[in-house]
Parts: sequence; structure tokens; C-alpha cells
Amino acid sequence: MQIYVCVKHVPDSAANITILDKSRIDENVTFLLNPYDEHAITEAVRIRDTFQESEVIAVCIGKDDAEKTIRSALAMGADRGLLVSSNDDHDSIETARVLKAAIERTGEPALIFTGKESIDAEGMQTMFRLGALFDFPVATNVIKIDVDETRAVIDSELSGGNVNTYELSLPCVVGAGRGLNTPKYPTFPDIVKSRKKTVKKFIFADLNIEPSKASMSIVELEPLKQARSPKEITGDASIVAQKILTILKEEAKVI
Amino acid sequence: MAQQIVDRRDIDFVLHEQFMAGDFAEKHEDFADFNKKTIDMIVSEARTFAIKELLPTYKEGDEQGCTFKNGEVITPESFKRVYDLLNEAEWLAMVEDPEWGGQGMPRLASSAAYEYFNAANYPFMMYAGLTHGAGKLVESFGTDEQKELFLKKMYSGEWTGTMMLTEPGAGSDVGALTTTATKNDDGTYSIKGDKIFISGGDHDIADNIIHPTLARIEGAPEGTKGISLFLVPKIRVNDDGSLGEPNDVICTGIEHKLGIHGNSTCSIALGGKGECVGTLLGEENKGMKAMFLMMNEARLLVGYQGFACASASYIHAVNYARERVQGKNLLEMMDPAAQPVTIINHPDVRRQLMEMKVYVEGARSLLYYVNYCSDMAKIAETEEEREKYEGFIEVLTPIAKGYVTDRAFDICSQGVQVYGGYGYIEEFPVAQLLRDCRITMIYEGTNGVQAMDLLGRKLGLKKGKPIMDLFGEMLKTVANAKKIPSLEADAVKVEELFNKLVEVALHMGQAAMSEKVLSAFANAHPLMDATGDVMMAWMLLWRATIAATKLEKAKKKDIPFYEGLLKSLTYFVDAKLPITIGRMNGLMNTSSAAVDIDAASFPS
Repeated sequence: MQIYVCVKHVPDSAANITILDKSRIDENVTFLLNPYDEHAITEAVRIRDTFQESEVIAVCIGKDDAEKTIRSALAMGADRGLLVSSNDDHDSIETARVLKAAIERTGEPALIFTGKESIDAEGMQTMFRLGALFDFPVATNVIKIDVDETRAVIDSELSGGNVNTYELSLPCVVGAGRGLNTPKYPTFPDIVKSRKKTVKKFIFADLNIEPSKASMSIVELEPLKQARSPKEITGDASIVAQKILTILKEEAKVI
Repeated sequence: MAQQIVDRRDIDFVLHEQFMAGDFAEKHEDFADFNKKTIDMIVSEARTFAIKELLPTYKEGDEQGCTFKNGEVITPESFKRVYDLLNEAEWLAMVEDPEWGGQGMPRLASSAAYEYFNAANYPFMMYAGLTHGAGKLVESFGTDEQKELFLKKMYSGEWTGTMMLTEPGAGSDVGALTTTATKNDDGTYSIKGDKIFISGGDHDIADNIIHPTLARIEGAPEGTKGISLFLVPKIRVNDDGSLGEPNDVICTGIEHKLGIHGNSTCSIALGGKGECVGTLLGEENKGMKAMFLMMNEARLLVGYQGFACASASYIHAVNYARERVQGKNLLEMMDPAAQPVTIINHPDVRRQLMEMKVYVEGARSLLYYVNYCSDMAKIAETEEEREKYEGFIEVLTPIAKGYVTDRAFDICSQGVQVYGGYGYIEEFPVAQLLRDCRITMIYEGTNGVQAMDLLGRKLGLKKGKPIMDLFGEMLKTVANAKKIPSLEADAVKVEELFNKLVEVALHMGQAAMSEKVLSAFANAHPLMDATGDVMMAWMLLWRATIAATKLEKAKKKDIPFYEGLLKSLTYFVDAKLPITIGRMNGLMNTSSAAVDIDAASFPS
């Protein structure tokens, strides 16, 4: 069984992002494996270990530096990697076409994992576009998955904490959610071993991706400005407590 | 969450541009796995682990501290989980022999991972660091049986380790210890005595604690010559490796300290009921020799601990100075319409940051260099070469511990200063870093002991050969710098400083062997200061030489970094080097006032 995991090289969530020329970010920050993809890799490795002659392949489109993210995936247990090297930005339409081309050239997927979203663009599209291109069923924000030779039974978390259970025929595409598992840190020996695993490189232009008639591009990026204004809450203790509760529930939406 | 706790760009510079860490992969088969890319990945994973797991427990560890209840030590709540994660990922024995569960990594490359871990939470890392050190003692001096029984479980972190040396009457003077060992019929020893200040002496994060313990076998000579080393487990270990009965190793209390609250500092009673059993580690009466072999490593580790606090404080201070808006630009002071600026624009704050920058950079290069020397000694092809690098380690160890931690505390203090009033408030991390850093000047041999080691042992070691070899290396750096026109003037000044140190060292060495011996030792610490300054000058010149060479073809994003390295040298030569010359002039005076003054002249 070949299990592909699409991974993305994204800025560290803790990085201070600076916007340049209104349309791109200053890339002089740490880039890491997209956190949702860590769940995808962890699950793919778990499933691989229950099927004989299975392998996990991490696939990524990005600049050459994105090889580091593939190596992280290899350190977490993936067996080999594919990097489609490109210095340009690609919209989700093209990204899905590139991933499909890279996957088709190297094997026959039984399962394709993605993260449920990337923490930089938050587009949430790749898994659906891949599913459409391959004509595979798709489920996203998956928090549980059981796989046998022909099908996957998955739990998908909806808003409000509701869970739907689906049965998908294989091959299928699965968007990993945070509740799927707890990713483990790679062990020191696995980090060292990951350097010896192969990462096959494709040049974007060599894949002859059919251009799409539709396209998306970034018009403008704006930094998030968090407005902070003090508010005095008055009244006796029970009124103050009630007002705070209302704010936490309705404005901050944290409870 | 902070993105940075230490300067990764500078770490990469020291690893790959100054000491070529990746080249060791081709130099020796033991290091073949560790090329540049692998090292980079290890450093990146160490960073991820440090920032995601260790850092969030730093403040909590400080606030909760360790508690002592019903005879048991309870560590901060989050420590156990993080300790398990550290061990699952097998970080504890990065540089040790794979045969015993180590990872066989070159020491130079491990420097960066240690810097990240310690900068994130060094009081926590002490549990792991001491375990590693104690394991190293077992590896170096243990019998096969002791290794089988203890070592893998220590290098895997399943059991922790300590160093049980200090007693109420035996601190800096270890030879005064009174713990006794009485030989039993089965070859084991019954241990009896009281130890204090034992870091990690008791805790709840692992199932067993193995204490390498110094004690005197009955009838052994007085002083350090009669001291032996024993392995004393908290819980006895059966022949099959399983845990047996408690070994009468009782924690009687913990200290309430200025800093490192997350690490337990324990008083331990050994054999109060007469049931504490240990096995001899190494030979009888050779305990101090064994400990000395470990001393360099432990002292270097303490240098790293202090330095890591400074390294983190510096990064916090720079980030704060970039964000904190306060006061107008000095040039616009009289303009009522002028907007306030970030404090990094104020000359005095910029100077503080510069002060922090030069010592952090110089100390990083110096500490990594000592580890580089360890690797070079390991792969040396001739005995002469091995001795050369081991000599460098000997000479540099008191500086890497004593001088670096002295400066590290100064840097942490500057970090507090950059924050102004907020720096003194515990809400910000610089206050804790300052407190935690302070002990590094005291334990593992006070910095006064380090200074005496430098003057009394290291200067004259092997008739001064190591130190003269080191001067040879330093002059090579000067020669390289002189080839670059823009650095020539500074290189000449640094060379003059080197030459003056030779003169001062000879003078001090002679004074130490004359009737002025007491005056000489009263000046030992200033000598360590001056020698350390010279090492800073060496490293900063070396770094600037590389920067100047690379600047021409540098990528755009690297240009400010390299230019900053040139400015570090300029600052040191302009502002610090004259002070070093002054220190040296003071040393040539070898003032005897401190020893001549009657003790009664101090206030009563």
C-alpha cells in the first residue's frame, strides 16, 4: 500500500511575519512542516505499520529549501520524499495538479493525506481539488481513521464538535485534523537516518502541468491589527462577574 | 510564544563558517553520519523541541519550584512529562558511545543543541546534564558489570544521576570530606555520611537515582589522596537490573535558592540506618583522579549554562528594544512635534545591546572552540596532535567556566537594564535568567577556584607548552586578519594585546612561585579577567576575518549579519581593549594590599 502525504513548508507559527510589497511575506523567518501535516504523517506511519509492504511518501511543492520540511517528515517516519522544486507561487488549482502529477509519476496511491489546512494560507482546498482531479472520495478534518484493504472508515469533526462517520472506498483523500493523534517528536537516531532516505526532485517545468483557465492570485496582504481598547466594568461583584461572563462568551468566544 | 531564544544565524556561523562542523564527517568514520545537512537538521529539531516543550515550562518551573513533603521531593508539575519526551527522542547522550546508548555526535555539533536546550530551561536540563555526567563516570571507570547494570539506563534517562561530593565541612576543599566507606565481605561497601547541595539529589521524575559518591575508605590517608569514588543507587538494583529495596539514601531537605528553583538542591543522609551499600567505581583512593577527569567536562557544561542564560537574555533584550517605544530621538529632542521612537534608537540602549552582542558572540565561539578541540583530540592522528588539543582544553576550561559565567551574569544584568523597570518585574523572562545565571559563578568550583586553577596549574602546565601552542594559534588568526587591509589596524592592536598577555602571564607565573605567592593569588581573578578578554579579542578578530572575506559575495540577507561581526570587533578594540590593557597594568603591579591588610582592618 502506498500512502502519500502532501506536506507544506510554512512559516513557524511563532514567527513575527512582515509583509513586503503588500503581497508577500519576508521569508527570512524559520519555516517548518505545517503542523496539521504532522498529524497526517503520524497517522500515515501508523497505518503503514499495520500493512505489509507499505510505504509512506511525503510530497511537497516549494523552493529547494522545502526539502527541510520533507526531511522532517522523513524523520517522523516517512520512507521517502518527492519535492517539486519551484520558485514561484502557485494557487491551489495548480498546486493540486502538481501534486497529482508527482504522485502519478511515482506510484499508485491507496491513501493520500493532507493536513486539513495550511497555517499560512488557510485555503483548505488541496484535499478537495486532489479528490476531484483523481476522482477519489474526500473527507476532511478527520479525527479517526480505520483502514482495511478496500475502504477507510473515518470520523470527521464538524463545527460545534459534531462528528460524522463516513465510509470511503480506497483510494481516497483524507484531510488530517488536530484530534487525529498526538504527533511524536522525531528521535535523534531517526533524524540522522532521515538524511539517508531519498528525496526525488522534480523541476516544476518538467512536469508539463496543463495550465488551468481559472486562477487565483494574492492582491494584497494586510497585517492583522488587533485593536485593544480598555473597558471599565462597573457594578457590584455579581454584576461584574455576569458582564465578564457575557464578554467571554459572546465577544471573546472563549467559553 | 517566542520564535527565538538564541541567535541561530550566529550559531550557524560558528558551526559552519568558523569551525566547519560538517567536515568532521569526512575526517573520521565515527562521525560519518554527521555532515552539514544532518547537523543543521539536528539543530533545527533541537530548536523545535526547546521552544515547543522546554521553554513553556521555564517560568512554571521557577514559580512552582521544588517542594519537600513527607520526605519526598516534588518537582514542578510539567517536568516529568517533558523529561519523558526528552528521553523518548533520545537527546540525553548525544555525544556518547553508541555501544552504550549514546548517539556518537561530534561535540562541536552538539554545542548548538545544548545551547538551545539550556537557553530554554536550564534548571530542567540539569537533571539530564547531571545524568549524562554521572553516566560518563560509569562509562570511564565502571566494571563491565557496573556498565551493564547502570549505564544504558542512565544514558537513556530511565534513571538519573548526580555528583555527590559536597559536605557541610567540605565544599571547595573536597579533601576535608568525612563520609566513610567500610568494606563488606561481598566486596561492596557500606557508606555512611551526610552530603549537601546535591543537585537533583532526589526528585519524582525517574524511578531511580544513581549517585557517584566520594567517600573515604576506613584507614585511607587524609586529604584528597584518601578519597574513593562509589556508585550508590537510591534504590538497590538486583542482578537482573530490576529494582530492589531502598538503599538508605534519604533526602532530609531541600534548599530555597535565589534561582534554578526547578532543580532540587538536596541534603542527603547516607546510611543513617546502616543500610546504605555502594560499589567501588574505579580504584581505591583514586576517587579525586576520576573526578578530575570529569571536571573539565562538568565545568564546560556550567560555562554553557551561564552562557545560555546570557544568550537568551540578549535575544529578549534586542527584541524588546525593537518594540518598546519610549522617548524621542536624541536629535529631535527639542522638536515638540517629534514622535517617540523605539528604544533601540537611543545611543545608550544601543551601547548596552552592543556590549551584550560582543560578549555573547565571543563566548559562543570560545565555548564551541573547546568542544571543537575535543573532537580534534579524538580524531588526532598523532599523539602529539592529540596532546596539543587536550592541552588547549586544559588551559581554556577555567576561562570557559569562570570568565564566561562572570560575563554571562553581566550580560543578564544588561538584559534587565534594557527592559528598564519592566526588567525587574518577574513577568518578563530577563529577571529569571539573571537569577538562574548567578549560581553558575559558584558551583562546579567557584570562579575564584577557576582563577587559581588558571594561575596555579594551567599557565605552567607541561612547562607552559599548551599555553604557548595556543598563542601560536592566536597569532595565526592575527596573520590572516592582517592580510585584509580593512582589518589590519585592529589586528595590530589585538596582536599587541596578545604579546602583553605573554608578558603578564610570565610575570604572574613567576610571582606565584616566589615569596609574592599570596599577592599573586590575590590577583588570580583579575588575571582570569584579562586572559578571558584576550580570548574574546581572539575570537572576535577570527570572526571578523571570516566576515570580511565573505562580505564581498554575501547574499543580501547576510550582509547586515557580517557587517555586525565587523562592528563587534571595532567595538571591542575601541572600547574594551583599552580596559584590558589597564587590567594588565594592574596585574604588573601585583598589588599586595589585599593580603597585607590586617583582617582587623575590616569593619567588625
